[in-house]
Amino acid sequence: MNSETENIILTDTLSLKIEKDLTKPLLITFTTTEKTQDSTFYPKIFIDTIPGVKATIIERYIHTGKVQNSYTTNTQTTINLAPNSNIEYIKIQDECLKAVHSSSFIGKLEQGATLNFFPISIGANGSTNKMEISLLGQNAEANIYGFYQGRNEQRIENSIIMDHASPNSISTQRFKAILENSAKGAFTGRVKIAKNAIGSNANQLHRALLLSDQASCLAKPELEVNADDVKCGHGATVGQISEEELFYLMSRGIPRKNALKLLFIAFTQEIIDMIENNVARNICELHLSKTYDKKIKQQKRVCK
Amino acid sequence: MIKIENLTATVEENEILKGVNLEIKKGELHAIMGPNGSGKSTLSKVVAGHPAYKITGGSIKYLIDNNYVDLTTLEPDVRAKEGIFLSFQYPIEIPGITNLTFLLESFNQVCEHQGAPAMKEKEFRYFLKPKLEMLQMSESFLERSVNGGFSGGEKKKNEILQMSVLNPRLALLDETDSGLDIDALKVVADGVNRLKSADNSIVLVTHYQRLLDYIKPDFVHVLYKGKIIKSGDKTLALELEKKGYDWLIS
Ligand SMILES: Nc1ncnc2c1ncn2[C@@H]1O[C@H](COP(=O)(O)OP(=O)(O)OP(=O)(O)O)[C@@H](O)[C@H]1O
Ligand SMILES: [Mg+2]
Repeated sequence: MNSETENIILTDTLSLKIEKDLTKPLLITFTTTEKTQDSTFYPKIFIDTIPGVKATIIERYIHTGKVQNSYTTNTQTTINLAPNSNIEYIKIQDECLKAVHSSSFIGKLEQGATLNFFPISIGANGSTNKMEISLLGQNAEANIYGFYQGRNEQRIENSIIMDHASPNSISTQRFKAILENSAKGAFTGRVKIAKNAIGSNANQLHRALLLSDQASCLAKPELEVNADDVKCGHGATVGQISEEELFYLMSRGIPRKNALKLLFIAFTQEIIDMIENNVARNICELHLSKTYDKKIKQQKRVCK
Repeated sequence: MIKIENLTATVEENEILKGVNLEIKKGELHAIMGPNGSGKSTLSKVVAGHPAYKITGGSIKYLIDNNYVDLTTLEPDVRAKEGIFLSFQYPIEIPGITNLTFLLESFNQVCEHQGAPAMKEKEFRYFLKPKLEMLQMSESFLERSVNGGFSGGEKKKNEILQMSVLNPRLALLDETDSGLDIDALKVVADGVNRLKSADNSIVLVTHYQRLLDYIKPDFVHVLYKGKIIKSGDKTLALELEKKGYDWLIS
């Protein structure tokens, strides 16, 4: 295992309290093998922090079996951020493609706390991720930068409840998706702004790239604003790989395959670049890079 | 270097090129002028292999290893590897890919094809230094995304930077002069002149005689409604500057 990280093997329930700044990211890994056929797992993580600490945490689900098998992971993560603590939290779901992954992530932020959360879904046939963030203290800030991808029959569903419960709280939801074959994605981003949460600022953006006519994606913002003097913004786009960008790269000698790879990386980079910790960013890139080549094969040739 | 015969091409079912004939020999510099919408950019993109443009008739033959081969069957990246370069009239922005990554990937792909050794990033930066200096571009342009937020003139300079990296045999410069200020025009023209040799050929698409004061063409052509209706030497450009296109059309 990696010595650039503090490693924890997750089996069942993990409770920990972050009491000092962590220099290395904490890497919590849950591994399934070929022996996990028809099993259901319920890993749970509880994290508390003391005020003012800063840490990067990676929660990761991987499958090491040579044979794909069907199993279910039902995960539950709860994190409480004490005042002014600053947590970068990356969740990588890279399960085997026959698995079902269902997750619940609950974050509670006290005054001045900052959570940068990166939910990344790569594997599993069906993946449902529920995220519920409560901005309980003034000036609390939660940013969710998500990426998911699907191919074949994969289904990915992300739903967020962002609860602004106190004044001057800030939230961002930025998601990117790449879907191909008959993959389907769904995104629901609900923002609730309580009556006393004046001066709050919430924005949301969802961008999907569809690589086939059968792939689809539905993004739905839900705004519930009960306070005055707040800023809310949302947007969603669905697009294809730009033929002009592809041609520009190819006209410089870059073969279609490599050009597509560059464009996929460029699309996801906006999310990955937001990860502050280098080691954590590298781990994410490693998980993502092996998926690009598979996708490239799916792209139909446009040039003669 | 390239022989274009009776070339017809469509985009979105509209016939834009209606029988273009043009031969460019090794070492020659040609200028193509003509009113807006006459098909100049279309011709350049067809030669570079843009998939939106369909060739409906005629031929394009390009010199590879002393043989004229049918260019139209080659993918755009292969054309680039064989030395064709298009400086776009409107270079696009590609967010998320740094200019350096792009240039290095492009350079190494072309090197690999031509049997030259690939470069690592450090060596490549060193290789780029004099080229950036020649174009009066700061090194910070390498760290930015491809054309991301570049001004119109900076985008054009970035095109010529790519040209200097790839050292093409046939360069098509589509209105590289448009959008450049007076000093930048000189810088870019100097750059093009330095890249010009007896072994390569250049096609300049331009609206202005001004560029031709700096870069001297051997031939000037007028493209009008998808056909070359007049060819001459550089005095033709001066004549067009004075008289416009009307006298040719009626
Ligand atoms: N993708 C496209 N779809 C539809 N029409 C197009 C497309 N590309 C070019 N055309 C049309 O083809 C014609 C020729 O365009 P082209 O860009 O080649 O002209 P040009 O000579 O380069 O003009 P300019 O001097 O303005 O750059 C124009 O009428 C243009 O509208
Ligand atoms: Mg043009």
